[in-house]
Amino acid sequence: MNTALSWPESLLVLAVLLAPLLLPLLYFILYRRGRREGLVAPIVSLAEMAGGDSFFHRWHTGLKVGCLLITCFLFVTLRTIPGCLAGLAIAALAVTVSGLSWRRSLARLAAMSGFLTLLIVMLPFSGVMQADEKSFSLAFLPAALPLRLSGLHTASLIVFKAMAIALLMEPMLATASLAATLRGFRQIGVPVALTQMILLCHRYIFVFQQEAARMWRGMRVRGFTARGDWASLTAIGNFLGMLFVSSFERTQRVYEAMLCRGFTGEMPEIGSEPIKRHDIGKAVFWLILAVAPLVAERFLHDFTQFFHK
Amino acid sequence: MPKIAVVTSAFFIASLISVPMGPTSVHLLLPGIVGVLLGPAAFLSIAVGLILQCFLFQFGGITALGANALMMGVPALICAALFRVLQNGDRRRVVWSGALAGGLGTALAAIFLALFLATAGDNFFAVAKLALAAHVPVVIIETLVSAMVVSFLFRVKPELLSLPRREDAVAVKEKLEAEAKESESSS
Repeated sequence: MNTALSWPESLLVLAVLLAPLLLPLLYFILYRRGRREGLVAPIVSLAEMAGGDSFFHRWHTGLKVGCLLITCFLFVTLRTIPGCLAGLAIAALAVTVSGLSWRRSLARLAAMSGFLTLLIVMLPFSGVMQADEKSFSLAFLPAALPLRLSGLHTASLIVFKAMAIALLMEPMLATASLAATLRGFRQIGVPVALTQMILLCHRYIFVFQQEAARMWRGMRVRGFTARGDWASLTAIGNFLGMLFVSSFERTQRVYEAMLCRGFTGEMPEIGSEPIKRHDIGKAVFWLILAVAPLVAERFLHDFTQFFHK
Repeated sequence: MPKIAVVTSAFFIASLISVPMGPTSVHLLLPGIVGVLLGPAAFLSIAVGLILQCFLFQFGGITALGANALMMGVPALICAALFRVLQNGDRRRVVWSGALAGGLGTALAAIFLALFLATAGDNFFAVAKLALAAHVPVVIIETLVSAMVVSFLFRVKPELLSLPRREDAVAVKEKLEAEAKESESSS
């Protein structure tokens, strides 16, 4: 069943298809006016907003991480547009309640926008057209390339779910120090070795970022300008090689320093966080909120029959 | 364990570096070179790097971590094995093997991505093909940069490539030369 759309309607559909591209645009307009200096993209520490005071900041870390992780997987199982939009609204509410800057959440959404745009532009125009499938012919495209509603539906589901999960990352990871968050992950069963590696790796990322920036400055001072030619590739190859050499040498020094301080294979656990009654209350409240879209879409599926025809 | 963590930080930073390519630039994925440098530990290093990428930037996403770790980690292991088999200590051979491992790592990661997308249904075939095509320039850049990196490491710190240390190699060469001279003088 094919419906031809007029020019204004077609342009409206095009705007919807390209909507994910608005996310990086919004991010750059609001926060990234200046030109980036240097070779390595800036990295913002997860602990930047850890000292706040909100529903998520005051929640037991293990319960918070567990509940938000369950929420992510619950949102992945959503199958309808209203359900996904409800999930997205809950995630947006979580960011607002946590009192965190929307800058970081927008940056997360912007990071995904390329892949999401690829899906939302490709899926409606590709795939096998079923005999009774709803489709539209856009005014600026040939009739042989119709927009399939089922493809648009699938792409929209993916986009909304991905955005909801991305938004949940900030309340999950940025409302406590990384050490506390990783302790929360250990409490829900993530191996100790893995969390310790993540903690150490996070620490040294900033060290190597500074080291790379210093080396890059040195190259710039000597007149190097990155181009796509052979000389530039050689210089970048040597630059990366030097970064790896210095990292391996530093690795040995760090390991020896750890041994000197009594490291026997396990990092000492600092501090503990007892679970209080209000933490459990918060967990119950949050899980009811998180499961609500799933329950609603399973019981109120008539609402979405339009998309399944 | 701490050693892998620290080295992973350097790989993480290296993956954020944009390499110019024509009017645009590409970010390196580095599964091949991580495999060449870390061998069997590459999978763990890549998994930790992906978790941090997800934590810090939302690249990948927490619900896709398993798929991403397979997509990047398995090519790294394949490239590690391939590099060990192909390189024979000769500079030219080492550089070619490194370049091949670097390019193949990214190519395999793209193929795995396309396969994962294709298994999601017929609707995703076109996206899978496009994802595969989009990786072609990255494979080219990664091959060239890997060749440069391996060539640099061969000259500066060959032990990182599981080759004998330079001073050891020089000592062995001198010993062989001395033995050859001795045998010549005795005959």
